[in-house]
Amino acid sequence: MGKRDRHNLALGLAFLGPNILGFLCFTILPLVFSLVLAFSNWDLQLHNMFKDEQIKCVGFAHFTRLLLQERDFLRFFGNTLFFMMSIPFAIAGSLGAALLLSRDLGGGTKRVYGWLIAGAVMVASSVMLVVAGAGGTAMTILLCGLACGMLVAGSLGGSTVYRTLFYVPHFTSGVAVYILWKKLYNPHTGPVNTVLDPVLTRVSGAVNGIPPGSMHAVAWLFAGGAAVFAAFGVRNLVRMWRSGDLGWAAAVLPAAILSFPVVMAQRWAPTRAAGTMILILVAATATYELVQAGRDTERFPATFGKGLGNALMLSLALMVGAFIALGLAIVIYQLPTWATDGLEPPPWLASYHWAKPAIMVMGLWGAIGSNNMLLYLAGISNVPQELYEAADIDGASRFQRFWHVTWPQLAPVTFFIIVMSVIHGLQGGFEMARTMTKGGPAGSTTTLSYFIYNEGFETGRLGYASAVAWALFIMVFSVTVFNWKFGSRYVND
Amino acid sequence: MKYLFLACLGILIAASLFTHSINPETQSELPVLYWVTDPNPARVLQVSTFQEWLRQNGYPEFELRVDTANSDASKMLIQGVSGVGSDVIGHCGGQRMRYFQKVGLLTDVTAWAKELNFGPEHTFPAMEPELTVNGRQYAFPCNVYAHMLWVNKGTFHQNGVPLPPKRWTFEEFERQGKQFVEAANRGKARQTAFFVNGPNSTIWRRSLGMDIYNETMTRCILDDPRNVELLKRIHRWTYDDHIIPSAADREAFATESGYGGSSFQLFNSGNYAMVWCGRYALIQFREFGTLDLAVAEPPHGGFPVTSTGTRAAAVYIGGKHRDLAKYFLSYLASEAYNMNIVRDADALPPNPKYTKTEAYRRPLPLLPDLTTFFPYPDSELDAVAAFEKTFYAVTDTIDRENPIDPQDLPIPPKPSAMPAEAYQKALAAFHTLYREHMATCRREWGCHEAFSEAAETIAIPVSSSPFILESVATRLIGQLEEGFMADRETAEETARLMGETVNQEIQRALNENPKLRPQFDELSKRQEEIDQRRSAGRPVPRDWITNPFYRRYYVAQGWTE
Repeated sequence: MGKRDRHNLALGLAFLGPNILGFLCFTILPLVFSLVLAFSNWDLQLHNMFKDEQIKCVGFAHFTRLLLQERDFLRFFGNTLFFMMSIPFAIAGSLGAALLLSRDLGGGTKRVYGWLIAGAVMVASSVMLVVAGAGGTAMTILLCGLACGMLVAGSLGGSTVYRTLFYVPHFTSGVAVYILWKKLYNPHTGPVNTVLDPVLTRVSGAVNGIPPGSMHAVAWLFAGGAAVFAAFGVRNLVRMWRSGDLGWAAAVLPAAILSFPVVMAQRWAPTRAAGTMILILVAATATYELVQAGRDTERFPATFGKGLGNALMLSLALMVGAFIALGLAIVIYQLPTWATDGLEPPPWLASYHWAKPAIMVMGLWGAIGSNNMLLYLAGISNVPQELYEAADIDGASRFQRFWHVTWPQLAPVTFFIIVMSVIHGLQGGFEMARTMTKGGPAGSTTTLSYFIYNEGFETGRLGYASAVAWALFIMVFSVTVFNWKFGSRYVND
Repeated sequence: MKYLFLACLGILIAASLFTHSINPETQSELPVLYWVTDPNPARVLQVSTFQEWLRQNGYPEFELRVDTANSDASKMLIQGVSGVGSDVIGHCGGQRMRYFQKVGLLTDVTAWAKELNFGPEHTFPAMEPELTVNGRQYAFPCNVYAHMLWVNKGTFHQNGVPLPPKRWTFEEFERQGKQFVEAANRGKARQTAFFVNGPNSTIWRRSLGMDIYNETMTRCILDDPRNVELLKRIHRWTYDDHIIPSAADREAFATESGYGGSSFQLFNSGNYAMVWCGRYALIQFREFGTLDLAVAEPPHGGFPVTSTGTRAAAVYIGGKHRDLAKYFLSYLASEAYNMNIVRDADALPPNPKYTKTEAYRRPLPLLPDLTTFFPYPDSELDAVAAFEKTFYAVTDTIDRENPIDPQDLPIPPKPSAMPAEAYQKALAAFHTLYREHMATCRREWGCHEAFSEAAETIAIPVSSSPFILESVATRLIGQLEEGFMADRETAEETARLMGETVNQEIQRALNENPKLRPQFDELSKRQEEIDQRRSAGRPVPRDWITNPFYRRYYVAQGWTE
């Protein structure tokens, strides 16, 4: 290396030095330190500059305790996973928003002026209703008017206005948003319940007019839907195994995932009877398919771990579908009983059962117009126009254009968004728990990150808190590796 | 480009040096101590009074500065263990004192207390467990509070409900509560008025004769039928009788502004007939100006009791000027400070003898806040303190029995350091306030004694086991209570889980800190002896009992030797 090169190198390192130093001091060193802490018994009550106790290595004791003795760990992990259930909907929402915003929405057409007039009439009507004292109805109309106003503004100002409006929730300060949503969720005076109250009153009136037997029949239909999901999954797993796309060992986990809704249906009182039906149907399907497989003379054996990714994706999607169907079945089954005394909007953040969905909806609101939407916008703008022209020539409909051109071209973006969303989801939930609910009621909104904070700074058990943090890291890393291994094939195909 | 970067680096270095040079500590000739506390405007006057007190007593002078940015408990903890904590730690009584003492952040002030007369004998006897650990003192109260029920007499009269008695049972509370909610919510689409702003399971549990821990605090005893009965009662009062608002009801009240949060606002507006609080609620109530007030003890299930605590100050063990910080604790025991608390109604003064003064029992309107009325620079704040002292020395002697005309008020002499114009304006402002607020002050008369009497008779501090962190126990118990109120568990299961989870946590602490084991074993053995004596109906030596509740309860029941 010549003198000049050495000089340039030294200069470059000198300019990079502060950043590297900061990175080492504030990122790498704490990271390594926390890893060491995770295997120590560091407790602020016993080990600090004013005490003489020695810090000892405890090996894997913290991890053992976390997995085997921490009674709330699974519950808090479940809370974290619950919040992550909104990820698919958030991604779909971001994609939908990006598709809408990638269109030219300029004004000047008759339809735009129609929206303009309709929006103005709605806002004026709601103002008059408020003045007349009909606050609840006015609120409903005003919200609709607000939506219209936004549409109109975008029509006049183009997609830039919409993009800004969609992105606003994401860059608004977190604490301010949480306080705002706390007000929105106010059980008696918040706009959410003000809109829901008249709607639920009408629904309860309608439900009371329907014979309970009819509602129960509809509930059974939905339970049947859950059975169909589960049976469909079992059927496909067996067929994949028959055709050599799925190894026998790789089938175990997907089968267990598919059986989860069946087991839960047996445990929940309202669905116990339906659960038996689901079990019978699934067992019958499995038996039939296995018998068919036994009759096959041509078999294509697969290695025992083959096809795990595909099978897992299928079983996860079907499990979610089955749970949604079961949930609807429970709600519809119970609706006549609930409607007898009149349906009321839930108390949201003050309710053990509704606090989680409330926070999930809030997270969804912010996630739709987030960086994911911007990534999709960039991805959509990079789709070659020739592909669309070719699709038009082949006579593709709008949906077919999306499904066969746009969606595959967005696969790399989708993959990246899924990976980052899962990482963020597993680590998140701290701010909202601390600001809105303090992890309650009764620990229903405590996530793993909030649990780590409590263990570290409330009790001073920094060693144990570090162990929990590293356990969380292992989970995040495992899921990310799985995503990379099995998800990337859809990107590269 | 590189010259540009180098120039930026130079500017940053220069800015850092400049910032360091204007650091308050480098600008003061006197030692600077920091007092971390809450952002109460009264602290400004308390600090200036303290400076005056130092001079009068000939103690070494130093600057005491208020730090309100680091009053969060976790900040104090982390800064403390890192060696950069504030010299005087505020809000350090009871639970926080015990925790910080365990961590090793606090200075043992026992010797200083004897030297400068701020020992536990100079405050309420119930405060001793809140200030000491194993006989050593670590803090002194800035104020003392006893939780009672503030009664809005106007709300009761409006709804035709008789005022609650000073001392009442659960049954009387329930009967009156039902009467009130029925009358106050008649004709309304949804309930907006409640009898009291919430439950207080700690106090009510004690009134049934049981506490969270046993006599030696080695075991949680919440798996007790009395706790089950209490949980069911609270549930009934909330969801059947609607005397107490549920969590959803409390969320539904949108008002969040003001000191004390929504409860005080709702008390003022008649949504709550009573609120739990100490005397310090008057800080906000006086702002409202229209409340006609009374005070009642918490309803009891057989044993009248309430809880007490303190906002105390302690000395950080890592401070550079610990030997100066002791004077601040001594100041807290002084007349100047105590009378400050008396007049501000910031709970009870640390020394109970000042609760026997007319200024406490029957306060007059206060002087306006002169620090905002006249823009005094910091150097002249002492003049404000001196004037206030002179002023109150005169007004404290006024005869409360007879109506007093403001024109006849004795005029205190002007302190030499105070400008004449400021003096005239202060007097004029006081006359105005006197005319406008005398009626408000009279409505308070009769309330103050209730707090001081409670603090000296029925108030008992919260029990704290040395084998589990109080914050952990509170969180676990609170979570289970919330779960029960959300109908997740039955009362029996909730009580069982309370006992089980807290006791598991105690065992965990013993496993992690084996040094606690000998103490635990000794106390457990003593507990067995206590249980045997109780079963046999024999008295128990009072010194055997470490739980402050049971020490009082056993004496009241005549079960001690």
